[in-house]
Amino acid sequence: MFTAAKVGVAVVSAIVVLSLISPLATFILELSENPSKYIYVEGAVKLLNETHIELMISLTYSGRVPLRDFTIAFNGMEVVFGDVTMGDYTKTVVLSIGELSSGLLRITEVSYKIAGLYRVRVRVG
Amino acid sequence: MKGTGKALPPVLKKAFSGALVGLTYYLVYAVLLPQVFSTLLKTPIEAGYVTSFIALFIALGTAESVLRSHPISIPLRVISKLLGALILYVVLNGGHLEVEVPAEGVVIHAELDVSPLLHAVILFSLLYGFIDAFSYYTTRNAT
Repeated sequence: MFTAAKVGVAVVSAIVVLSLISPLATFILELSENPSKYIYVEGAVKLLNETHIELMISLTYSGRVPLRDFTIAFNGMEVVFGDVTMGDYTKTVVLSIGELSSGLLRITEVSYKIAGLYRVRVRVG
Repeated sequence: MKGTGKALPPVLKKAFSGALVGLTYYLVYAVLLPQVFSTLLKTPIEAGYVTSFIALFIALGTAESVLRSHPISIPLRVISKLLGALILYVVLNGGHLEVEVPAEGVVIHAELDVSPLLHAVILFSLLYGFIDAFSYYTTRNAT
């Protein structure tokens, strides 16, 4: 009875742990192969009028593991990309020039969940 | 004296094998598993400060082996697993790993939460430990 239970637990634990490790290992392996372009974010600013600007944020993700709740924070604002898979994404935000207190647009935080499981937060500064 | 001479070697043998089991638990929980996480996540994990627990693992392993036929061996075996799980949890900061990288005049602070994986490893380890402990005691009493 105990032998069957031990084998059962060992098999189930191996399956569960391997399925949990798999997306994390794939993500880290792919990221280490191409660290600068794996998740690439860039912004383009267009002056709309004297008081407002249009900020276009482009996100390129070249990984196979889906990312959930992808969010980029800058100058106290958040742009939510949501669920991200391999490909290009663009979000456009209209900002009043008054909102840019420092006068500079700078990404302060990027957060997402690897395969919806592992929360990653990268803060700058 | 003659009887003592015959009884002593099996006790020493049990104590020695128990100490080896304790040492193995220590190596698995405090060295091997943190190293696996460190390699997998490419993140330095400081585990040196748990070295002092090696004596506790060996003591538990020895006590559990010497008292194998007594019901006290079940909680002792389970405590070994709980201690291992606790050390793994502490070494990995509850699955909340952080690293700071200076780059181009700013500091990049990265956080990775691997608690789902850590919880699964600890849960299955404890589950296996409980079954193993009862199996260990039952098998021993049957022989």
